[in-house]
Amino acid sequence: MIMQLAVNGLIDGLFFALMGLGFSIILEGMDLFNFAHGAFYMVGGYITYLVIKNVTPNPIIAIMFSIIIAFIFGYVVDLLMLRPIRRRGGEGWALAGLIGLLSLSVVLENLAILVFGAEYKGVPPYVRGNVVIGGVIIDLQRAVSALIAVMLILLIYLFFKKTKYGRAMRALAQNKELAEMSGVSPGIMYPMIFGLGVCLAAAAGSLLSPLYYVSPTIGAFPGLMAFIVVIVSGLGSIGGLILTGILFGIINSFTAFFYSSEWGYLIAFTIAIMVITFRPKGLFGVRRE
Amino acid sequence: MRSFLSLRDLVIKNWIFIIILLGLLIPLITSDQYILHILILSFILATLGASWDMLTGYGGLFSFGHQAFYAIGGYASAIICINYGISPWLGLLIGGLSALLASLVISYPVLRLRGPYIALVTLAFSLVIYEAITIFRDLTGGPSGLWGIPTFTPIDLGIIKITFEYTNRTSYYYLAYALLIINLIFLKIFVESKYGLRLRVIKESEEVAETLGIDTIKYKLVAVLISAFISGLTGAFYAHYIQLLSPEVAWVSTMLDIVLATMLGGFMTIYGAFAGSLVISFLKEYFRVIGQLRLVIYGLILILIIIATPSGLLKEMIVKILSFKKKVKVKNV
Repeated sequence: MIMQLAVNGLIDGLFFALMGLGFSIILEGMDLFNFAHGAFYMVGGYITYLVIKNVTPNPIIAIMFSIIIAFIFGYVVDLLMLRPIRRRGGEGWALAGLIGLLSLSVVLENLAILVFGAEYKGVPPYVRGNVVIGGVIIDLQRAVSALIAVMLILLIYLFFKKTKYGRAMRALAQNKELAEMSGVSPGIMYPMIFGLGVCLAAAAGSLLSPLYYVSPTIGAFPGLMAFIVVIVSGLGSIGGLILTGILFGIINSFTAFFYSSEWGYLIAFTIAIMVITFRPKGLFGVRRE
Repeated sequence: MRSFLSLRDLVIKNWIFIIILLGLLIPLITSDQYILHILILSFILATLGASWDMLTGYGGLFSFGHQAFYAIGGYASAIICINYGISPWLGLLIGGLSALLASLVISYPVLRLRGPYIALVTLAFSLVIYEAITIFRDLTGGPSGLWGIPTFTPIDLGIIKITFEYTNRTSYYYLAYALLIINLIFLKIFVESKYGLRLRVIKESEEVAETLGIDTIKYKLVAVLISAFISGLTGAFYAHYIQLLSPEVAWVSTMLDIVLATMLGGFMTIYGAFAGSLVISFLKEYFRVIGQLRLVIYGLILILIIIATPSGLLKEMIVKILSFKKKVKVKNV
């Protein structure tokens, strides 16, 4: 039983890490707390639902589709909403952006209720069956989704290490002035960073849609967990992020089994307060103080 | 022409009193309980907004957890009044004090952190409170809500007896209005005082404040405590007015209302939240007919405000109207 809970938590944790990775890309690159992360998770779920229902039952295409749409959507949101706030500048930018993004999530949630209704929509699982390894039952759908999540995290890692754009984004995150001097234009990079961050949230929503139902408010807690995972882990270490994600996944699966899922969130938020108070740069943070 | 100008001068100089008077007259003009109800809710929001404006606008401590103080005040007062039969009038004080105690706990990180980290830690705090309300259902009623909160006991003044009933909300109206006006005046005096001035120095630069010999921790702590006390008091009033509490009061949407009201009315004005909350409360109520679209429009308005005029839409409009005379003067010079 203990092993079963640990494995469940580990798999859930990988999704937290995927969500958190998107959150931290935006936080690191743009100095912005993306409080609409959960809303983008929900958007990813609905796009998957629409594609599988109306276009093709192929899950890979549905996931790709939701990632691409979310990227474009994030790009446009940055151009229309975040850029004007950024232009006005000042140190209040992060706070104004935060309020703007929270309002955006209100708009998206209620649009979803208007368009799809408040009821839950089911996405059929595309892999059925279980595997039993050493007494631990693993749902294959869950395992496949987790595998794709790990692949996405690896892809992002390679993107940041190897490609021109990835390196430009890292340069921008480390030192804006120096990056600008070396020819990295923030005006071009910021919308891309935001798009990249939110498309990971949408990917998580898309991957989890066959496991949980899709509903307008489904993103609220995954979004908060992304924020908590990033706060606790700190910036600059993908490994730390995955570890923290898994830690919270395991905490959640154990507390949900022995008490209730609310206890899991309560513990997670309390840990976050402790970490912000005593170690603001996070457990694994390498930059910032 | 002359008399017209002096009338305007009179209005400009004494606009606070004129607005206070107008507010006092409203229950005499209308006995529509629905309008009174919306006004009471808007007064509650305005009090919260003003206390948030003091802490965030003047103190520079960006709280994103005022809904927690509000909920703590409401729940503490309600639970104590239900279980121990204490008068709800005392409950108001209990609500304020319990929020103050809670703010003492959270002030430890808040006073040491800066900028967005304060927003994060207060947000996490409010989420802890939200989850705690959901978990301890024996005490709080959990997600299904806390029912049967007693309302205010009648006051016997000898000549007249003031009763608090749902069928006639006039007395609730005056109570909410009194709370609002007292808090607005108190907060305005506070931010204009030496204390408020020092708080603004700290907001501009903590280093400068420290070289001037200002005890930054002390001044920030006082601001946090006052703001939390007022929020808790307001929460207690809300609990005894509505007589039903659900965990949603501690949810982020309450904070969004506070931010929207303050931003709409004018940041760093104290009074701004009053104007903003009036607009919002009526918009929210009259948009009910269009159902879910209401919240979509609500969010879009907030986004537009953030993009266009972060210092406050109504404030800029009023300043433009009132500064007409000043502009003429400038031309003469």
